[in-house]
Amino acid sequence: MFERIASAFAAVAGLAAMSIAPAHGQASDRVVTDHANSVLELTMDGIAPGGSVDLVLRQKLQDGWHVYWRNPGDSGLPLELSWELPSGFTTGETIYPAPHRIPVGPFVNYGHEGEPAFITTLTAPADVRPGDEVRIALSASWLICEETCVPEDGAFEIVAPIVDDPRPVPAVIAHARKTRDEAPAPWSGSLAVHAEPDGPALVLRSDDGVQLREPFHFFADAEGLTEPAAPQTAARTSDEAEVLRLEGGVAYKPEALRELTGTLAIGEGAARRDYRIVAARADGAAPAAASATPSSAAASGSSASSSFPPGEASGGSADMGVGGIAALLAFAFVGGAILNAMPCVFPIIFVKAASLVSSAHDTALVRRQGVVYAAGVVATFVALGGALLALRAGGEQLGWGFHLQSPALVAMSAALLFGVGLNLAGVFEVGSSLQNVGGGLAGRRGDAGAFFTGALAVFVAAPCVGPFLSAPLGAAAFLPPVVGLLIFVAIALGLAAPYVAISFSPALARRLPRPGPWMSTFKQAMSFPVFAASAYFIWVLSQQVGGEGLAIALLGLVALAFAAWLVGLGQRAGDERSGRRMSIAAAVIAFVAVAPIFTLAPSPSADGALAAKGGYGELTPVAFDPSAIASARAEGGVFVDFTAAWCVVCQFNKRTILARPAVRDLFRSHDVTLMAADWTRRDPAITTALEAFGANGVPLYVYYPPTGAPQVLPLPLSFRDIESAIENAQARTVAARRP
Amino acid sequence: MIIRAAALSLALFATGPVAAQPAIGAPAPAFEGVTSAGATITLTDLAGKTVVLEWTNDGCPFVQKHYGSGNMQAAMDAVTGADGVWISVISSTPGSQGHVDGPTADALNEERGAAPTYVVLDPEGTIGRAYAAKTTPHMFVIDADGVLRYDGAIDDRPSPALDSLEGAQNYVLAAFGAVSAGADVDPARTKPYGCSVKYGS
Repeated sequence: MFERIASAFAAVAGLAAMSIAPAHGQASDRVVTDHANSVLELTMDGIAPGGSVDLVLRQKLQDGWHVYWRNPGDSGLPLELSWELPSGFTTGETIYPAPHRIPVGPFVNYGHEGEPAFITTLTAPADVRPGDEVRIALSASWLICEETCVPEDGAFEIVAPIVDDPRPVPAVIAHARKTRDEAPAPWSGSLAVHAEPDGPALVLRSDDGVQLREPFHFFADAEGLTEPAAPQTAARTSDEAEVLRLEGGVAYKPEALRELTGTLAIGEGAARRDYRIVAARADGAAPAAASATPSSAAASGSSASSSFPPGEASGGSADMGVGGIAALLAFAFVGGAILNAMPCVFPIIFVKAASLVSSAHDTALVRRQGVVYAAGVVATFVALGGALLALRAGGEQLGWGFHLQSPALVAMSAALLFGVGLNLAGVFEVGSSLQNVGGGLAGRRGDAGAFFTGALAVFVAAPCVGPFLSAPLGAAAFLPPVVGLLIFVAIALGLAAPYVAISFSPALARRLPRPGPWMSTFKQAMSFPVFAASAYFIWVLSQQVGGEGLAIALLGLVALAFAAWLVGLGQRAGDERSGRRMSIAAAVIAFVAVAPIFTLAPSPSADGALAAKGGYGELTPVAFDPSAIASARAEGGVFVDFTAAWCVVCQFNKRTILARPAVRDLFRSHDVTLMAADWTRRDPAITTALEAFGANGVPLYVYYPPTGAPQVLPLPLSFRDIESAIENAQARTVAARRP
Repeated sequence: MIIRAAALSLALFATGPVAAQPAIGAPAPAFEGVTSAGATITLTDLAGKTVVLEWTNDGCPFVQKHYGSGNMQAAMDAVTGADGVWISVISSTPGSQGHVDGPTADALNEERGAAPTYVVLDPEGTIGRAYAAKTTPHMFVIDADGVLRYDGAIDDRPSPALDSLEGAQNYVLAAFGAVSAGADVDPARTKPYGCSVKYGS
């Protein structure tokens, strides 16, 4: 059976080989073995005296089979190359494609699948004569495995002319491109390795803000130095370094360790970035992992993490898990609290301010409403977060902000805020009649309002969730659901905290002015920020549904205003029966007005691109296309703006930073392509791309340099960071291209 | 900084189980195994003798190098001739390369002129995982007190090529000799080479 498959493959491969005539002078004959089809090619059509050219050994492996990286991992063998060169010619070290982890039972191999290309640079002596021909011969052997392993080998020969001015062969350069593109970028920053009893501990400091974001893996160059299948744990020290603890393999001897070299891969798929690691030995134990949080987490178990004993990775990691989660929860809480300072939440602050002044002198009531408000925030955040986690578990490609991708929910948010605005403006009252302002609120009926305000706070805050909460939200999406929900609870508590604190402050009651007729004027004034927030959601909606959908929503708001006015009329009538009748009529009208909102669907013609394409000043972005990045970055790199119309932070950054003439000049002078990944509406491709960078929402800014790994720009975004990312990366590229 | 904290806590969830390598100088993992003849043997039963464990898979090119050349058979004879015990262990899961029943295992050895003391069938991979046997061949030497003295490759030539045997240093015979002479084993641990052991999931 196996033999039959193998021979069928060989026959197919043979046919393929025959149909592609080898290009004379640049390629060897194809070598067809049972599981691979291999060829040796030159990237130039000749060799210049004293010049260099790349020899590319390209293999097309049978599906499901793999060959090995220079360190094959737990089993397997690396490629073996034996060159036969004319006198004076030399070859450099072979460049392998990026290694991949290939699990084999309980063990792990490092290798390549598909079509790996191995690159070796050949240098000619200066004294060869143009017009002559030289013969380059290679005998290569490799172990190729699926579940079973087969040693294979091949002899390759190229006869190449010596010419003064060799020209590149684009097809061969294209074959080698993947290996070149995947080549690890130099590490900018400091590196050191400590010889711990159980294995090397790599201490990394990055100048570029590179972080050990899961998934990551360190591929050691040397066989047996580390255990490929062992867990690799990362921890932060108190002084901003990261410590990567590796388990030593059979060849690891702490006393003999001089340096550690290898490839550090961070991320996976298209977003994987590889770094070349060359770390000299530093004496002493690796710095202990510190609490990953500022002092705010001190109460929540950081002692467990700071006592992490060196060399006891497995025992220590459980402690770090608790400490790490505590840290994450602390950040979530702080991020939630900071949300209150974002413009999105201002309307809620005004609503709360209006409610505070009307009840400020009843301390118990204020406290009670503070707690109920917090409950509303937590319940809504957990409900939204739970829905997100559940939908993700069901296989949906969603991220935080997903509800804002639904036009119906955006329209609902606009309508709710509009209604709240009408209420503040005095068009109608909630839970009480106009005659007894305060009296009605004193009862339990005020609870519903407070809870509702909490729920509303979550909805209006959502567009401003960004720079401070991207890490906790990203983590929430990838951690176990219980932890994910805890993170949502922490954010919610943070969001509610300032108001709860104010509610419990005894100084407050003393400071607020005494109640009086001025209160209703104050409430009315507070309606305008809330109307403004409603207007913002309507603008977002217009990006999603286009003109017709917008008309439906606006007519809905008019009907809603009419309904509210009817309710107010009834309340003012002072007659219970007619009041009730008015309310029923209003409910019917409101329902008829709001129902069509749920039919709103993203309109293809709406071209949400308006939000994405406009606002960049003189720059015109191209639409996000993951497959186009590879070709587009070749020039001067690609800058991707992951954005959404409903993301206030994104819009702010775009208009205040990306639209600057300085950014335009920077992009133009460096040939940088601007790509806009517009997440206003659902887009699984963008969700996937975000996840590859460990993010689960926008904003996110990524620069793909011409070669090497993409870089995530730090938030809050600054022009200086964009400038240095582009200039540094291009300086490196130029340096790398220099022979 | 926030992101680092997230990465750090994420990293902790990405670690899978991994077989721990048995320690040199410590008691070798105890095992009970069924031989190709259907008998049950335990490591404890073999106390007083130096025991060599060899992980094998007759379909693996690296194993074939050592049997095709007679190198493995010669090593077996050297060990068993000096009152040592040689156990070939087959941990291939049913349906995978190298998995055989008792009679087939014996027939294979007869065909290639190999005479291990026992062939132990370990289709569940229990013994293999206890020793963290990674490759075929992967060799272990256990002294008369049941202490693990060598863990690693059969020799210093990680290659499937026959001609690689020329001048190879056989680590197993060196370890067996050192153990018999009461000397230290050096090297006591090397990186095994070969095909992966075909464990089931």
